[in-house]
Amino acid sequence: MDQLRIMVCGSVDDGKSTLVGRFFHELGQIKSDQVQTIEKASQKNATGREKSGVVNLAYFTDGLRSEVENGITIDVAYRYLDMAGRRLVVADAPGHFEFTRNMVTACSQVDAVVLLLEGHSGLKEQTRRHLKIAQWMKIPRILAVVNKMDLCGFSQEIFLKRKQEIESEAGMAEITVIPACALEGHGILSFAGSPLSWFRGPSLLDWLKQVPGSSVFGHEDASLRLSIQGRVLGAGSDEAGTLAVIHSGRLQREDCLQTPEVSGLVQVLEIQIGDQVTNHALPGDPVFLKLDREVAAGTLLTLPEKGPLSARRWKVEICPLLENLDLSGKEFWLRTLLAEKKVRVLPRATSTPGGFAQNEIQEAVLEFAEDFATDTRDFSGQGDLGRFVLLSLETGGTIAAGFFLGV
Amino acid sequence: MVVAMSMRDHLSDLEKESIYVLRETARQFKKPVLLFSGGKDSLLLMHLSVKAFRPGKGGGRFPYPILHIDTGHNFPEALEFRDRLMADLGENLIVRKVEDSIRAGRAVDETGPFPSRNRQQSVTLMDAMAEFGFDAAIGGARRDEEKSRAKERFFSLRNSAGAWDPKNQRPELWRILNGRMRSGAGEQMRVFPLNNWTENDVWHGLSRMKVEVPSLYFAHTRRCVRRPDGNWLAMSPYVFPTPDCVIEERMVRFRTVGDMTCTAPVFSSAKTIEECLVENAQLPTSERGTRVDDQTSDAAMEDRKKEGYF
Ligand SMILES: Nc1nc2c(ncn2[C@@H]2O[C@H](COP(=O)(O)OP(=O)(O)O)[C@@H](O)[C@H]2O)c(=O)[nH]1
Ligand SMILES: [Mg+2]
Repeated sequence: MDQLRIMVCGSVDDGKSTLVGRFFHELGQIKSDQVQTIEKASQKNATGREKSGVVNLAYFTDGLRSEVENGITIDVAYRYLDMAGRRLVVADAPGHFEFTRNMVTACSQVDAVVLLLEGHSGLKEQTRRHLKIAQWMKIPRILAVVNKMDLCGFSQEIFLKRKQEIESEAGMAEITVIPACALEGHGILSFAGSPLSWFRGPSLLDWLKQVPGSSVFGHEDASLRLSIQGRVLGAGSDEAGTLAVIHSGRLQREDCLQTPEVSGLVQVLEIQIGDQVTNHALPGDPVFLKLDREVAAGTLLTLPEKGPLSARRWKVEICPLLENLDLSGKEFWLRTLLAEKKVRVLPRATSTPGGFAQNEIQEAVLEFAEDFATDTRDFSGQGDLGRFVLLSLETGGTIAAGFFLGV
Repeated sequence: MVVAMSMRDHLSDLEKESIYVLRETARQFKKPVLLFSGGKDSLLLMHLSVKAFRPGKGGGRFPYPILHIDTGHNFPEALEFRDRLMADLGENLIVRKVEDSIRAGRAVDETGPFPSRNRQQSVTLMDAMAEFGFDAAIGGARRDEEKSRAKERFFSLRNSAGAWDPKNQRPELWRILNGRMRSGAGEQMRVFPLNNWTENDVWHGLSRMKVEVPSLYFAHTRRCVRRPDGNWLAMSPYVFPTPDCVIEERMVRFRTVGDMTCTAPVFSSAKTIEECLVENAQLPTSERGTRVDDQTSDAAMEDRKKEGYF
């Protein structure tokens, strides 16, 4: 079974959680005890937006106390489903501006994005922001769902107008656009016999069946990127080995590898996965290695001549995730898949206090204490090492997401 | 067998992800610990730890001890299984008892016909974390199990009281796991390497590794009691049925294994993992639907997680 991980995003109240609940419901994937929970939450909160007696399928994912009480999504919920030959992981993201950090969290875990907007009201600020973030994070497939078509008379004309608006917002990027009514279930599994039967494209389910999935780890045919995770604690010193993980590329026994920190090459004498000795290993493989010398945890190993860039100053793009952050001229921990280093954000002249706006993608220059070696965002093989987060020196909390652009 | 082959691919990815998280935990924390309950999820964590840290031929040891919070309400079969597994693996097991927390006045036992020690175990867990100075506790919780677990991160921060703040979770991006904590604030991490496994995945994973599974998961005859609220439980020395309860011998198995006082049996004749999977697909309820401890209120799990539970 292959795996497809998707996120459902878009502005507040455009129907994301309802769509997720409806999708699982239509496929008969909500179990009786879960139905009871949903019914109970619907009854208890029947004031305002729900008419009493109507089941609100949003409570399939909105499960926290404060989410149920306020009828909103605060943090991403993950739900799992097996379709024919495919594991589907669905992340239901929150729409509010102040919870954008949780949408960004979800976005970093998926292969494709379903972006909702309302037929009658169209694109909003958060719709645009979510689209921009998904494109920034290089999510290759985007499905825009024009929801609540019941509120605009299932009009083909209005749908075409929204389609044109979202396509122009997406720019050159390929984007599929479909109409739907999550509340009644039109366009979820199919359009047949529904007031939207004029539509000739894929339903949500059709689209999810044909979008390519991917692995959590990098590509096998990209350059080798391997990092040392530690050492095996052995009884005798001859039993000690090195723990490592391959982020991208293919490792062969007898490969001679280079590290940005040490001169000379490191040779791979033996590769083991579990209790099996093997001649090669692939991305994600948790390997035990015998190397011809000791290499410290956090070290990056690559094939010679195929290594990363190295510099003290890096041009980056960052998205600050908390409010009132004072970044300009300040120091932070920068963490990549490999390592954690102290950096300073060089000041820039803008009108925003602290120089950087929350939830906006902005260029910056980071300064390390010494040369730092890593890949850029556009490095082939997903650029896993071209990604980073900034952490507060004081709390250790994650405060911004970023990509290395170049030196 | 194209289907079986491709199922393997998907499971391999889950295994790789979990082992990656286990190794990152060992790398980033000073003193991590693995929580073992005797159930299938913590059993899977044990075997993934073997794959992560023990290359075989006697080499390697887990970089963390195993901690069992013993409520005193365990299935005897689960304890037996635990001791056999520990003897096989030769890893370091620490046991801390809820009974002792109660005796020390740190917790109060529930009264009534069906007393549970579900809440009390958070106290014993937090005390054990403090006693040994553990800064991270690895647990077998999965997002697929329950609505508040569906919102968990891999590295999930807890304050000095062990409390989860679901409204204010840290962003967690890509596979970059952030184990930093505010220094001197007594914060601790909960680590969930199995976040993305479903119930089916756990069974396929265990079956593929060809490891022994506690007999409780397969059909056997057992004296059971039906409570007035309709829930069934196993008969045990820890429950005190009132006259309006029904006591009967039934063929049952368990879908989750927690305390005898809160785990409901499933009526079943399934004797193998394959038969259990077929049967589960036809059952109307979800896995956690068999847990009486999740039904005490609408947000029972979320509330316990705010008290230091995992
Ligand atoms: N009329 C109509 N209302 C909808 C539709 N989909 C969702 N809603 C309603 O829109 C409101 C917000 O839905 P919810 O799923 O919580 O939105 P979210 O914030 O995007 O997750 C709820 O009252 C839903 O019942 C639809 O297709 N038509
Ligand atoms: Mg929502």
